[in-house]
Amino acid sequence: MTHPQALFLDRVSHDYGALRAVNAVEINVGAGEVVCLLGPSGCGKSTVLRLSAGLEALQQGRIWMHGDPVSDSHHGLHVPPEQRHVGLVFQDFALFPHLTVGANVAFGLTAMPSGERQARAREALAQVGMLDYLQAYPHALSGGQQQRVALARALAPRPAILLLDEPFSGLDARLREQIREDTLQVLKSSGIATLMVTHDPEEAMFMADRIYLMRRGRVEQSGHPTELYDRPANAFVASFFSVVNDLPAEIAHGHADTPFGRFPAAGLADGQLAQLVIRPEAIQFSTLSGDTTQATSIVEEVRFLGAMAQLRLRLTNGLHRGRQLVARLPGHAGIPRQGDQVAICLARQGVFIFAVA
Amino acid sequence: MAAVLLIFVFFLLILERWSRGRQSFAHTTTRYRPLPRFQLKGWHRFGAIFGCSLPIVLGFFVPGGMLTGWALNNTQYWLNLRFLTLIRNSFSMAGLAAVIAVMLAMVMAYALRLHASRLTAWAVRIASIGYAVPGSVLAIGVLLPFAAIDRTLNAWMKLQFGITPGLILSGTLVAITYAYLVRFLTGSFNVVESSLGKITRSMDFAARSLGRSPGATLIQVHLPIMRGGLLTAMMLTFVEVLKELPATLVLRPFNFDTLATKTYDLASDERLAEAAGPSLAIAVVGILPVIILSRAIARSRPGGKRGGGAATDQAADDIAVTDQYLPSPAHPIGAQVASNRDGVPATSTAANAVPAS
Repeated sequence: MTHPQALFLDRVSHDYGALRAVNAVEINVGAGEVVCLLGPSGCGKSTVLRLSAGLEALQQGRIWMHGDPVSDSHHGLHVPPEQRHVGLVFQDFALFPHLTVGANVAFGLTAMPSGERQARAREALAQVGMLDYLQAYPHALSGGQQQRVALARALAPRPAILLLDEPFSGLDARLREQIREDTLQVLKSSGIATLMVTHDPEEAMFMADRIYLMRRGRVEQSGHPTELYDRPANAFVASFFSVVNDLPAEIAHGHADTPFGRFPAAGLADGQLAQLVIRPEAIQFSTLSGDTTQATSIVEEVRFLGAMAQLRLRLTNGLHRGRQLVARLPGHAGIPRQGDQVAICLARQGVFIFAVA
Repeated sequence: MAAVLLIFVFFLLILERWSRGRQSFAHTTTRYRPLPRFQLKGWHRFGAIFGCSLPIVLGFFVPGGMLTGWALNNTQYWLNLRFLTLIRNSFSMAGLAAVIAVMLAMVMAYALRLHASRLTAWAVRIASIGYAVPGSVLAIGVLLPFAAIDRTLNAWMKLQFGITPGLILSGTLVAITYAYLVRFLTGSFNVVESSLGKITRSMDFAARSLGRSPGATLIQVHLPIMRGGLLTAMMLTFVEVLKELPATLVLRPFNFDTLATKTYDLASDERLAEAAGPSLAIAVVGILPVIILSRAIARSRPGGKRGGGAATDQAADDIAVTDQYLPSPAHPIGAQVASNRDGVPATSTAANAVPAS
């Protein structure tokens, strides 16, 4: 069974003592793809990365890289990290303090003849825009600069796959966006397959061609960012990508009747307890008419977030009277003000019905 | 008597550890403000200069001057071969102890890093207790078992082969070197451990992913980074052993004098002019590391000026551990957080536990 993919994890499991950190996970990264492992801390994503790199011995399952098995728990195969041709970038960058930037980047190039080594190191540094710092030492660089050097060092040996472990978490929030963009450009222009671990959903959606969302050692859902955002498999996935509103709902005849209308609930049994999960941007406002079937609310608070405004509403009628909702609207003109009474309806796009676990 | 003294020592040690409890120290800010400097005037100025110079003048310049005078006036006592023999004895013992101490310290530090467990932690703690034992007590504590072993060995050998090898352990450098190690291992261990702590686990992983085996990582990454710390540890142990007196008096091999023991003998015979030579030799050898150390400590202290270059900063950080030169076993060497220009913390910490996810 050959897999042309850059990386394939086949039913991989890993325990730390009594704790099952990774539970029968299947992950693949295609050539040239950027794939993100996303999830809260403790979900096992960094463990998956370390297993892929060969930094931990695989307890259960198999791992292939470019069609060749590198770890196999059944046959006791474990290719050590120094033979796997992977590039690694860490949260703390891990640059060697006793070497210059140039020497750091050239560190992995031992397979090359020394003449080519210098040229390749310069090429890698130029790709990340750090060629001017060839002779500098890591401690003299800012965080963003260190991150770029770390990326160049990982890319210089032209690895088969690049593994990034929360590479932007150690940076100032201000810089993060710019460096993310720059990094993505470098990854795409070098065409290298990438597996990136992050806990930031925005980062994952920005960078990834595909996302694997993990929780407690399992993959909850995988797919293109829009798939996870628009068609979440469960309430956890929905709530991971944005703040959500959560109201109880009851199923009857394959749909849920809510104060905001009827929503289809395919596959859920009658009478089953369910949740109505609403994204903040799915709440739409209109002026009050006399219609008693409309859901009404009072605006308790309006907060300005730059491109959006966030409103806190309290429902004033219907089954869920008294409950709070969070809504978001683009811009800040034409927005209800604090104390206004408004009618609410929901856009189908950002509304989901899930069974209560 | 020695046992009684030991009981007191251990009691105090336990008391100190208990009072420390489970404290650990963490810096709450990532930036250090430079230490404020005040310009003194008038009587304050005079008083400060007088007060600060008094210890140096009375404790160093005055006795140093007298000793130098005596030595220069009595060169016949020390410009001879016997003096060179003294120096050779002292230096070789100190050198041997220093090298073995650093090697043992490395074994302990790596044991803690690679196989962290309660057993290892306790073993290291016990190994570090010796600094608190007074020299003479230590000498007796070493002499009794070693002499017993020697006697048993001699008796057995005589019975089996009819030869008596003599006092292999208690009559040679083995006993005295063992005593030095018991006494001074802690100092070098702390420096080595702190130095090793500079090397983060992610640096190890990075080196592995860049094609280095664990052995190559040790040689090409660990040793260069630790070099300053290892030299510091050797120097510290060397100076301590050179100055050591009580244990040396008891445990030295027959007819084996060191600078310290000779000085003691001469001084207790009131032959002060003769004692000037060897005692000055000890002072001179002891001064050089003190100068280097105190400059490095001042530079590495938060708020102190930093010198240029990664290597000196590394050495300065290592040496700063000697701030706590008389440590307690398992003193938590807290995280040293230095910030680079971007205001982003770059931690160098000795704690690298299993990562969370």
